[in-house]
Amino acid sequence: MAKGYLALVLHAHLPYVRHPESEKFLEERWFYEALTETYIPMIDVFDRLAWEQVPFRLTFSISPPLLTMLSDPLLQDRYVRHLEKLLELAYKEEARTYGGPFHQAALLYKEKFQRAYEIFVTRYQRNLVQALSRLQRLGYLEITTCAATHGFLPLMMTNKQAVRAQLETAVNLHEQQIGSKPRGIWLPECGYIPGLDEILSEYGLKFFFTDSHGVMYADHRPRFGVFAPIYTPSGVAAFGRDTESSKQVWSADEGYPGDGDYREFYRDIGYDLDYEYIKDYIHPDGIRIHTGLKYHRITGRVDLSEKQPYQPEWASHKANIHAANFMFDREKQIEYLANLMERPPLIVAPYDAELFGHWWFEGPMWLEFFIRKVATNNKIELITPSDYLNLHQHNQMTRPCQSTWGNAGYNEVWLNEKNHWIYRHLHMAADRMNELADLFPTADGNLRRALKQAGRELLLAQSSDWAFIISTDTMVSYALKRTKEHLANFVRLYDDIKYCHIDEAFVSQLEWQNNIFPDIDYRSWRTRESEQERAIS
Amino acid sequence: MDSVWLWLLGSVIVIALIVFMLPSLRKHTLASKKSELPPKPKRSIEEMAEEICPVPSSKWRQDEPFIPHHYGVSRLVVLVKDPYWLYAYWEVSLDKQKDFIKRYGQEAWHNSRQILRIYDVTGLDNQRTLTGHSFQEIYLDPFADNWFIHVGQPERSFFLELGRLLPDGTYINLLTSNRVCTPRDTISPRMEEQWMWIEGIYRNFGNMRYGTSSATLAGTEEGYKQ
Repeated sequence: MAKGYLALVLHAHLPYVRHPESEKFLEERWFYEALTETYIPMIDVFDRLAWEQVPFRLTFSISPPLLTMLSDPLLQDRYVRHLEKLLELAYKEEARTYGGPFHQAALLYKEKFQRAYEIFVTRYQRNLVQALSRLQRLGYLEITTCAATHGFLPLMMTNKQAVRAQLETAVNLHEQQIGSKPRGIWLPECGYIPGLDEILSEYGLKFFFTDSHGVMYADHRPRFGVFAPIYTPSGVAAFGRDTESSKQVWSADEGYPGDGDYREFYRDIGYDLDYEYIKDYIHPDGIRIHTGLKYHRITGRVDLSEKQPYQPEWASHKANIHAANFMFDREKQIEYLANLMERPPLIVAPYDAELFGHWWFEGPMWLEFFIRKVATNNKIELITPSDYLNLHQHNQMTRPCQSTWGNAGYNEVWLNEKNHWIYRHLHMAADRMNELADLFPTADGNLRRALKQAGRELLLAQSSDWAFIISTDTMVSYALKRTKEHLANFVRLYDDIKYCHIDEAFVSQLEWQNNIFPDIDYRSWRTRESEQERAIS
Repeated sequence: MDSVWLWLLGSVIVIALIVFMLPSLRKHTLASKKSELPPKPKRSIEEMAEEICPVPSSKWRQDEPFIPHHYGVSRLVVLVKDPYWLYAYWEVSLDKQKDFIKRYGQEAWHNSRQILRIYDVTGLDNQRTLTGHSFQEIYLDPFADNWFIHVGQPERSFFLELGRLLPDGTYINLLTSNRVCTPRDTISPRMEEQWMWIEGIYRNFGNMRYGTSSATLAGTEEGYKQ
């Protein structure tokens, strides 16, 4: 019998950055980079473990925009081209670095890209959704959903129909793509607000995650702290994040990823090499960007120019040590907690999936080492929230605290001096979408197309990524443009629908440009309750 | 005289050419630099990872899409920023303004001040309350249409009113907001009520079959919730 449980949760999300109009969009590269560095290596690890029948259970949250992009033929084709180009560069690099200090690293990238190509093209015929749903069917992953476009729900609650539409669209897409209804949800940015749980329960969602204080600062002091879930009054369970295990991986100073033997992110050949040599592999306009080939290790607290060559064996050795250390620390933590609780403690350790591989290059390798070690450990059992709730059905009931996992723990990141202005527009658009859905209980032809597209534009404008990016001061112009563009499209569609002059060409253009959620139901925004607190007073 | 004009014209053309050429020249020199290190973003102490972020493309700055600032709909919306701060935005429609002017006169509109009232309604009925335990007032800038409000009180409920204060001190309400609650910022002192889960057991009681082992019960999915 295990003494305690560990729930590893990986949240995979990218905003919808599909740009059919041009291949030059740097933002689309976010998706390609995440595929090469995170999603494919992760699937590689899970597949290998499953093949070798190493037992493990892991929660994988996948956001609907990412799910849509993974199954989009245009992006799949473009990614294959992108990968072929990377392979071409890797072959050149193999020759160029021969006999030099970077050759080992260059070989590593070549093999990595070859493997990515094999997995993406040959094994899964370009669609990684298959890989994930297969891993769920085999009992290794529990796949949870997220809000439709990662909309920040606590600031959307002024119109509950807007929240319902985010959830309904997400749950429907998830079921369609993964093949079964999600049992749990990753609330975007861990953003919880009392009352949200009631809406989650309407969609059959049984659990969600909060940051530590979401559970710790609950209305009534939780008896087991974050080491057991609590039930909200609506019966949906809230799982609180454990700070200790999160910090060990996250923290730049104390965390594993900052180790000197690991790969340095900020030294990339896209910046380091001669322009003439590298120009075909950076932005077509000559802007230097990350190619993904990085040959240095973190080394220590030294200037970027003093970083030393990356040694793959050292890094792998270190990842193994860190995996053992992580297990040892969890064992001690569980041992300590088990003495204080009359049930096995549960440690919830959620991470952004993109941390593994993209930022922490050795992350997937560390995860594999860790899972293999835990498989032979009799004190720690990997578990998912659903498994836990099946084993422990009676839990304390209280109301979690409004919280997020953003800086300072509340809404500040998504509501501050830089981005506050978006809410007057987002709320108005949500109210108007609600009005349209009530106005047209049924619709056909162009009217139906326009209503559906209005829903898509609203959902895309609501993506929490834009507010986040605006407040971080990097890439602000793109986030501003996306927010304004989707809002402007919505405003025009609303007027066109309301005043009966739908411009079919405009609708067609938008359907082509912003094609997320082909089966969206515009009626998701309809009024359900008789008494509704509208944003309009 | 003519030659002076020609000189002037010539120099204007030259300056214009330089201004136009400069960005492309600069880009070219930047691009052709042999080796340069990527900009290293500031790292926060806590978090290692950042959002996946490419280099900004200047392309996006052209042709900004238009969104209206006013929608012609009167509304006052309050949101929670954190345990101590609220944020409100509002719009007073022209119709609403006209109504005010009709009742109190054009003078009254210009001489009155725009104010926000923050009512504390903690523990009061959830239906729209007309008044609270107490309220504080904020005198706003004449053209303000949003405000960050320091309430400094976690776990309290509030709603807002936007109104105008006439020179004689009369307050006229224009808009009333939704109601919000600031979150807690500490562990709850409510320990005595922590056994709320007992309710869960009673909830389950209606469906309980007598004489079944706990193993059978454990196997019933959603036993708790039914």
